[in-house]
Amino acid sequence: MSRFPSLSTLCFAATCLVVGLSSATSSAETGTLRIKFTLKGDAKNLPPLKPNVDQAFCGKEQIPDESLLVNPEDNGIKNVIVYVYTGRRGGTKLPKMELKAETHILANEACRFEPHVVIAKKGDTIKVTNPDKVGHNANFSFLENKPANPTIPAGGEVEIELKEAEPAPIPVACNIHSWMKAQIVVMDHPFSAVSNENGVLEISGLPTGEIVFRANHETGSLKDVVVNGKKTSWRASRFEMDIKPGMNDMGVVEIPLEAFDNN
Amino acid sequence: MRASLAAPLFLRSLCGGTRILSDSAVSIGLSVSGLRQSIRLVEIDSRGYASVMRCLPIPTVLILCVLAAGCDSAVESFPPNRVQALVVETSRGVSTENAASDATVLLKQWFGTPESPRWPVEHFDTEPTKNLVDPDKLLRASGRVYSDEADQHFGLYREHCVTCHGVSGGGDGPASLLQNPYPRDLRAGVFKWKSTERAAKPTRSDLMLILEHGAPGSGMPSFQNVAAEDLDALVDYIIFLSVRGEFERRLLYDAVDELDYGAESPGDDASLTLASSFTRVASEEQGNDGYWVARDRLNRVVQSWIDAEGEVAEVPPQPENDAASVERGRDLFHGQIANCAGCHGKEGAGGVDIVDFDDWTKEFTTRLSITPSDRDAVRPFRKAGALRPRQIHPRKLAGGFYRGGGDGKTLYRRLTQGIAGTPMPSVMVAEEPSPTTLTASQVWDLVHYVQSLAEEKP
Repeated sequence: MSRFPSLSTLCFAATCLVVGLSSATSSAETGTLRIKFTLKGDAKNLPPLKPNVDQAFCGKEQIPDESLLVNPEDNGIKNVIVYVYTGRRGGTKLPKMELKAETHILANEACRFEPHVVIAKKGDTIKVTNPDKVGHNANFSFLENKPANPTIPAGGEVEIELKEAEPAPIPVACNIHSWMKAQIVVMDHPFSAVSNENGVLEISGLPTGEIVFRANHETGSLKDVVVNGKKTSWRASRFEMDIKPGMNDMGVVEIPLEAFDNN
Repeated sequence: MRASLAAPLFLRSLCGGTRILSDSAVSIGLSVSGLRQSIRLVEIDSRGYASVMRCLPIPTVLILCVLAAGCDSAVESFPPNRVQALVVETSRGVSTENAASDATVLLKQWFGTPESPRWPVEHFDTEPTKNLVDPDKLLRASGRVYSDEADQHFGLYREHCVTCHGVSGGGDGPASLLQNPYPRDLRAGVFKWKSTERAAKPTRSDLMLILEHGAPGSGMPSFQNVAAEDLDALVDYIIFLSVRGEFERRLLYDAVDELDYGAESPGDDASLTLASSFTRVASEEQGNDGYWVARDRLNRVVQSWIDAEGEVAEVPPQPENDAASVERGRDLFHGQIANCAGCHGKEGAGGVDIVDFDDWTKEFTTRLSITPSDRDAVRPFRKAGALRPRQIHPRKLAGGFYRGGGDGKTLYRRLTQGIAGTPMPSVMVAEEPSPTTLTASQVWDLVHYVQSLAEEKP
């Protein structure tokens, strides 16, 4: 059985994609992709993490192991990321769109990052905050943006501008508290989402037609999955979907426990 | 006197050298500055692995030179970055065998070989990028070790650098195994000791400074006795290796992310092998997708080196370094804003239990959700050439060494920029004092305190 963090009752609308709604595509009719990700197999019971630094503060609350968060009720997997893949070859050619710049909060809260996955896009800003009473840092291992690793003193905040899109989710870590990890998605479009505590994600505002998506999980491989009971191979963790106007419910995608072997 | 000679196997036994991880001897470099100095033979194989040779009497060496004459063979190619291919494969969940193979073809066409490196000017978009590296200096620094009649030295990289940094600059030469920290892997394009902003490349002056002074506390020695023009050529070659290596690393990502490389090759319209056949194309209608993706990546990598000269981190004038400043710095060092003691320990004495690694290690471990101590998970990367994961420790500042320099300006930049590739973060500097930021004056107080620690006993 897996446990949830105490702060995991996040608003569905906040953790799933909403940024897409703010950007208009050239298509008059748009579609929404809905997927539920579940674990195929019995989830391991991951004990809380034990802080080896700043125990006086970080040890006050249990720090959940967020490497694989599985809902004990329906095996839904939290923090699975899906985004429209736009690679030059094999990717979807999206219509030109204006991206509305937004600011996203990434908080160093109770010695963990909140949220664990930030969905952003090119032109947005990440405001890294620190409501904790201990100092943190946030090490962004960008590929295309300038790598940054600012300290964030207790009560402080730092803004990171996302000037470039990233080809895949980027890891963020606090080096002072080495268990603190997060991911940030920075695409040049608004069509990305992360699954909530029930394993469900939605991507809204999608143009209709064949669209290629790419899936990612921080510690798992999404090459071999089971889609609505049928074994399916997602080459390079990608899948295609013919998006129709309105809701496109892909159903349930099961990820085998073995996919998290490295964890 | 400098000479180059071949390396038949019997020669190795005659020399009594201790061979380190060398599969095939391909050349032996010999460097003698005069009869007073000993002669050291260095045997180099295709990965830059060298045999440690003992000193030999000069007549013996001369005889060996004659015996070996004519058998010299070249280091045919730069070894491909197999670790990076595996990183991309693991990260993206797709085979990179074809991508790596085709990238190697393109890299050889564009950047040449260790014997005959080339700067692919025909694919650059701007004059500054074309002129970043001098092809003549590349030829000086590359290839076998010898000198001409005018006593101009050649093969400088192989003579001075390859044993630690490896043929391709991967930081994986044979001596790397014996060093802590490991020699720099130049291919990441990430440099610690520089005057520029954290994410920026170093300037030429920064690289020259490291060559001249070394990095105290690490295996990087000073090359102050090497002629200035030789060091200048080496700077060009280091930039060349870094550009080539970073381009290779990023191209492997691009091959998967942009060109759809996988278990199957993507076909002629995206093939990097075909892209390598284009000498110069002027418009999007010419060339193929592979060419344009590679060319775009190349120009972006090289441009970052051009940009570095304008990205030198500013340092305000230094206020007086007196006892009051040191005392203020002590408070800041142990306070919550800078929180230096959180990693460097009370009074910089170290001893804080932080388990962390540098970015070169994290790339094939933690960023792929692999625990560095998990030998089974790490083994494929080790087989591909990765060095054993080794924990990085915050510098013990009390009485310690400052690898990148301990002068005020340098330490000020360490604080405001952090150290690229390491967990060392940067502090935020603000105009006015606040509970969450430091002013420039306070950063200087910290510098003065840290400098005072160097005088204390560890």
